[in-house]
Amino acid sequence: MLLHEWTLVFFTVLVQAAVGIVLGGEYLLRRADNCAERKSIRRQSCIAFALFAVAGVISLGHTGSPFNSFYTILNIGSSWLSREIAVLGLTGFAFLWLAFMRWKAEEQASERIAALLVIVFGCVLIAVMSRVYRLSVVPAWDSWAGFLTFFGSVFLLGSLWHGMMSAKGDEAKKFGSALVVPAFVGLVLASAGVPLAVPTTAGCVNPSTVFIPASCIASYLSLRMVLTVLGMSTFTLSVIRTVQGSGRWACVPTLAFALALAGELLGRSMFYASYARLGM
Amino acid sequence: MYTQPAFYFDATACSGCKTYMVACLDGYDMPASVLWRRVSEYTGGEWAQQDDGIYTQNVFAYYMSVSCNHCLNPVCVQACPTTAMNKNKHDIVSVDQNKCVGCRYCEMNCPYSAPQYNSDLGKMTKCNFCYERQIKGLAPLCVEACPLRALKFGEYEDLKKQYGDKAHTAPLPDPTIAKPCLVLNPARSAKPVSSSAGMVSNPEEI
Repeated sequence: MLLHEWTLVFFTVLVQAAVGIVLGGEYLLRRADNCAERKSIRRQSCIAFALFAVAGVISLGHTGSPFNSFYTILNIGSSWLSREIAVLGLTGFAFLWLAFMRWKAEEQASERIAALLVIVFGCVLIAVMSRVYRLSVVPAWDSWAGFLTFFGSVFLLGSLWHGMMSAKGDEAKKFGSALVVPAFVGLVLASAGVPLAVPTTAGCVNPSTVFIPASCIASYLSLRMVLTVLGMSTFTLSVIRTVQGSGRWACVPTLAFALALAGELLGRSMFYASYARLGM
Repeated sequence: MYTQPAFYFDATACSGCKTYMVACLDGYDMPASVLWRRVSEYTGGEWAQQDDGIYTQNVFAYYMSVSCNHCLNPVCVQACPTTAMNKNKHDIVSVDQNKCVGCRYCEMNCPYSAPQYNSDLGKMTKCNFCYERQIKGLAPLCVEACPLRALKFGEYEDLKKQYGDKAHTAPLPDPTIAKPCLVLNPARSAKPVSSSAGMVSNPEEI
């Protein structure tokens, strides 16, 4: 039941995490002041590209005839799904370029252009992705919930990923405290989306389009917020402890990321489960 | 061929036998899960005690038959990313199987559940208004199979003139969404669109 539309759940969360990792990486690169730190952050772009590529492959699992995928950009004029796939392709090329540049040891000026393109295309992609689900015939989706939660995932997962990857080095103190703010922005966006995401079946007279009862979805959404808040709190506590010099909890940021990721996957699964269409 | 074909459904004549659902499935040799035409049973009402202690009821039940309405504003055509979903020169909405990727986004958008996913093909399928039969001068299978003649077809404007442009009723959605080419003669107990007075009581069949 919770794995309904799992291909779309993993596709959307992984794409948002990948964009968040690049966004968080550029944010941290401005604070990095030695080669080791910069190298470590630059390498995260390659991991982000790998996540993005895996997400692209997973998305094909949602189609019945993946070999016809090349036709999916033919209706850009009126189809939001077609627009999403076109922007996905552009973002993929920008990701590939960035990963290629960052795989090399020495920094190059053009890699900043590649990173900028990934961020711009990535943000457009997330916005268009949320628009795909803004359907007037699906009351549960016809709100800003998708937009807020999708961008919430970008900030939350991107920040906590870098928190996890920088937990063991000397940069834990510097980067950890810098990452709390964007992670909190992600938490606020995700929280703002939850009340709007509470499903409604008003006017949806065909019960066969409702996958899980609304009360059940509301309970799972509450659990999703508990996981997200726990992840954020755990990360913040580990940062406070590191800043105060009370010792470092190297594994705690990993736990924080795992909790937040679990929350995002559960929340996204409920998003798709809340699908109920007007009419018959 | 008609230039804007439409169905006429007379809910006062329908007994809910679903013969034409079977005729459609059989005629196109489709799996049982792919329903180009569906008949829903819309039911509601209750018993209530009056001031004098007598119980009275306001129960109702009627049938609503729907296939693709080859809408004037086909949301499925607009949503389809591949342009596989299209309106042909006779204004019949059909799927180009060579282009369809089977993403089901047309299904998400259509308030009539007209596009149906065929898992054997990995593609969307839908009512094509028995185009190949109409070219030969034959009626669509569902129209021909209906034993009570509750279903008719013809030019949309002609049907409206003949039977009147009556308001759609529950469980149909708001017709302004897709502007369906469907002319109705509602049941006597019909409830307005978006009414919460009843429910579809045969969801497993549609």
